[in-house]
Amino acid sequence: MQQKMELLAPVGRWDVLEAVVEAGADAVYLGAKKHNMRMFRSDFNFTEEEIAAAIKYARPRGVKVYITVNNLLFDQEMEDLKPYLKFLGKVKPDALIMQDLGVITVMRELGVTLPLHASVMMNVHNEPAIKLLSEQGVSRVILSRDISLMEAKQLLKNTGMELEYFTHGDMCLCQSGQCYHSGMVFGESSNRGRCMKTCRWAFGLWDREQEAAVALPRGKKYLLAVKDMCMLNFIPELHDSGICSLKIEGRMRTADYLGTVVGIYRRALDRYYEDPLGYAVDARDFKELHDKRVRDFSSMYAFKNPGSLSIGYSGEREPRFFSYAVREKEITQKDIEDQVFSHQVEKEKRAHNPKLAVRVGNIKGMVEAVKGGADCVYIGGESFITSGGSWSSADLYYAMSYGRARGVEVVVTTPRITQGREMEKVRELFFQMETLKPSGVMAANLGTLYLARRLKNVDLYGDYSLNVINRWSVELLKKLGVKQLTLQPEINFRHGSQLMQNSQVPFEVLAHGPLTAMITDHCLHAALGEGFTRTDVCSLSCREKKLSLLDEKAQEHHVEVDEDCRNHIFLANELALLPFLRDFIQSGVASFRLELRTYSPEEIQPLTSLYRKHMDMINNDPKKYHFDLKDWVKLKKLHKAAYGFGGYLKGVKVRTRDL
Amino acid sequence: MKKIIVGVTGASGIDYARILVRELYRKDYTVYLIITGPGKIVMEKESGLKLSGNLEDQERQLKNFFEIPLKEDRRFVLLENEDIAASVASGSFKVEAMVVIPCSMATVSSIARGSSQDLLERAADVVIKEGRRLIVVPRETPLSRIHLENLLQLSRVGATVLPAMPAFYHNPGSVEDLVGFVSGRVLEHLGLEHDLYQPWSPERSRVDTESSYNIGILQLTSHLDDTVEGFKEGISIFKKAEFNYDYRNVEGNVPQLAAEAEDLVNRGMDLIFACTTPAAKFAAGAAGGKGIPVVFTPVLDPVKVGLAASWESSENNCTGVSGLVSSEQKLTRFKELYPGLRKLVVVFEGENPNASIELEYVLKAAARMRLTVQTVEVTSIEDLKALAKKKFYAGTGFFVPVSPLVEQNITWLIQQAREQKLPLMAPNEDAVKKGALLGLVAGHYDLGIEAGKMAAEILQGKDPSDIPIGRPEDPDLIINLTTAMHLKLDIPAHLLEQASAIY
Repeated sequence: MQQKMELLAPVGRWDVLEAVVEAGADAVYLGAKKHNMRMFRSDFNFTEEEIAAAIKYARPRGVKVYITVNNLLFDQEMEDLKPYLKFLGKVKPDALIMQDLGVITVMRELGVTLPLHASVMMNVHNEPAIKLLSEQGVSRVILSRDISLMEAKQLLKNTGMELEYFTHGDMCLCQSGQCYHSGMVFGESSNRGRCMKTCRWAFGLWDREQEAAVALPRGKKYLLAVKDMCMLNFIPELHDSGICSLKIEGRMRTADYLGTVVGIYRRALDRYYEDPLGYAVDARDFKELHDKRVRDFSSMYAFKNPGSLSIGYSGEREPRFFSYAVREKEITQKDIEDQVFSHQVEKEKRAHNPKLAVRVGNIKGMVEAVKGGADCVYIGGESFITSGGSWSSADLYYAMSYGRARGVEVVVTTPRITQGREMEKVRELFFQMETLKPSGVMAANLGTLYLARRLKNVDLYGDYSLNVINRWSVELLKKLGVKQLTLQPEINFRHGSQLMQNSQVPFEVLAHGPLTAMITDHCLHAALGEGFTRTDVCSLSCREKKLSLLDEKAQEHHVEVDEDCRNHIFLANELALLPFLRDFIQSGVASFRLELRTYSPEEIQPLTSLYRKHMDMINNDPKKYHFDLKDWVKLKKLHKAAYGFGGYLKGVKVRTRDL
Repeated sequence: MKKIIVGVTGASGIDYARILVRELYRKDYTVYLIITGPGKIVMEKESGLKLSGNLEDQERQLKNFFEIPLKEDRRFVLLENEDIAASVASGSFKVEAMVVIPCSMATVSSIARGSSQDLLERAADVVIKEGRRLIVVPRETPLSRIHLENLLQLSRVGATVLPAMPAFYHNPGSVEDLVGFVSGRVLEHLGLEHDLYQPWSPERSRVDTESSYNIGILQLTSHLDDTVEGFKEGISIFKKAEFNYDYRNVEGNVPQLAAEAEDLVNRGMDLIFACTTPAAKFAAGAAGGKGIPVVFTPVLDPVKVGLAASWESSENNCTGVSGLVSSEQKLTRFKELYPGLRKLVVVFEGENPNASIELEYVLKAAARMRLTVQTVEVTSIEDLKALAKKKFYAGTGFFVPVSPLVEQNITWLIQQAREQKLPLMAPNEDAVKKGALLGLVAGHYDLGIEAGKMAAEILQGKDPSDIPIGRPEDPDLIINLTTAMHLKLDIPAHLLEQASAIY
């Protein structure tokens, strides 16, 4: 019989530590006052002395201690992290839980060796990603929350990696570590533990074609509010999946609550291992767990895509609303006259002739982008149903030959999420690279990156979803062969420009187009139109309808469905950096990306040439350059949308008190 | 921003309010809506709209009812009638006017006596005391002396009493027209223009004959309705005119075209738009004697089928746009995409006049381009199946001219071309989508636009015989990339740039 699963409990305070150890946790995870995700309250988390004491307390009791160093970190914070890592090297916890690839580099620099666990925020969901992390010294992976037990079993079989699984507690609608909504709108990053939970907002549903609301039953308005995970009833299934550790969520929770939850899971595990044959769920324990629940329970993605069953539409069990819909800041004429970014650039470091890159949704769009003066086009997955939904081999082949004929770089993109058979599709695509001969391949997750490294004569590009915000992670990715990275869209431009100037790898910035706030496996079309998911055989209503979410400020968030049925929920405002290009160029941007997958071919050519014109003007003479407001009017007429700043203006920053 | 209060009471006629609020919203007013309890009951009875939930939910329901976008969060405000402290209860809250529509006799009485028992009455009271405009739309009939005295009282204090009494001089064709008249009168009293009905004027009949035209549309099949859409778009360049369309579609039943054409002529159409060659022939036949102009499209060769004396001038009351894409252009495109093309196998429907017309042009063009040609006449599916057994050498390309029978069974040919790795040029976009290599086709919508423009010229006085027959100016190049890849073709960059659709 395989090893017993570990019961892993969260600890935010000393009394919780005692309570969960008492209740039978096999391991605990906790973090310091800094470098850590759950830092909402000052009376939570541990000082260095307390960490040392916690390890001393837990170890004789046979309980392992994992330390969360699980934030994405800016350069300044990385520096500050070093003494702390040295300290950890001395007190030797059983492992570190980390999200930022840079932490690996820094630990090497410092000569600190400790077992590393890859946080759920790394969004690990495929086999090559696990291999990559394994090669980097990671000994355990906390799986992305959208992975099923079946997939976990397969991943274990193919990699032998220790796999940890979220078993109980709070969940996200968005794919782990890929939510930029809170960061872009509030400057409070979900990926740095400061999520303002925009997925708990009330929404209406809007049909963009009909320009009319889609009627929903009364009280059904928390359309994205996922329920809590509960796997108590599935201990045997968890065991069969080969998962080694059952993680309970909640470092901000009380000793009373966690003591109960841990105790209940402990009893279930003990009874199961004592007599697997006679094991059955204890109904009284379940009832107690259920009575103590925060939201209603769901097994989420453990068995299948749960669709509408995973959403608490009424919102009545939401414990607390962290935020309500806010009006996103629009770019005003005054912002343009003031050139709002001009004070953000500390030193000038102009890249030589930055590139203009355009991401398109179909081959006609590509032709138009080239006509408009693009230097580089991104083609391929993920593509939205509304713009064609897929790139056939023939599309890719002729797009390449067209690009070569017109002297334009053609880079093939891969989806942000490539789970299970989607990864097979990527393998097939890479297999065809021999004939396609693109200039480059864009990897949007660690798994595709790992596979793309093996391709010959192809430049490797990293997409923003790799969440690179410090030079140490740049360094690691450079070693892995990445030629160009993309600035993550939620961070403040001041940090972005510092990063670019210190980076050994050129950076691209998103300059125009809709910005994905969330990417999710939950399909709104299937869930709200039909009440289930695509695995229940939906009627493909996404092919007929274009939906948007309407927040309480009546702002429209477009929803696009991609070829793998994932939903992309956009910010209400599209991004447009056209009036601010000079400051971006001065700060060292190597390439500007127009995200035009949702644009019609007729819009793409004139829009691309507007950007081309201004980039050329700046390149010719940045001193004399002046942005003509007429072009702003032209842009707004070209593609009717509300335009904003993404995260560049008000996005995520280092707070001095975090240092 | 102009503000207006609309009160709805329990008098019958909720539709008056529906149209009024809709129009006020469209005219950039901010509408403050108050509905009395009886008003809600009548609303449910007459429109099926049962208001439920909190104020916010009700507001959503009402937005739907008034055709106001649900995301509108400023210019439509629902107020609770019990909420006597609402903004509109104060004279300092400036509104342009208040309309009570429909207005019950109970409300007329309360307003006339200044009782101010609820928000609606209070708001009316405020409007009167501030000397602002108040319009009441009573519906009651007959009227008692009490009613009349109350109405007189309102009139004395400056309110406009505008009873819901529809007129009939605007030739109402529907209940909507009747309702629109009353709501329109209210709008006029607010000094707003509207198009809910045509105001009466002595010159009305004369103006009409100048600006309104009856257009008959004779259609063979709905598949070609893109041309009709295009036609309507094209004719709209004639700005001052209004068009009443009489659309007849026989859905493929050719003999029926005769009766429909006759009927259109008898109903005194000003012009007939005929879609397809048979429709054009019947329309021309029926209209000829009466001198009613006929505009047609798509007709491959109007000269050959006798619709016109020559391409320059029909010398009769017809003109139109040919759907025939030049064979030279087609074959040039074919060769550009498939440079190895030496021999053309032209698969056409025998006994189809259109097919033989295009065939003739194709043969000439092929000769000029030094392509050998083999023609395959198809009169049944069996002929296509027989063709599938034949082997063709490299350098051969299949070409299908307009040929309904072949087009309907094009998958046979696509399959054969695929198996023998040979290119196929098809006469419609759908065939390319299904797997033919390419097509150069006239867009039906574009043909319709051209025809529509001709119609506009004719209605403005030009003689049809002075308008030369049009041809597709800029036909659409359609390419199937998967097929191209299967044939291992290189596609020149300019072809991708010029293609209007790529599959």
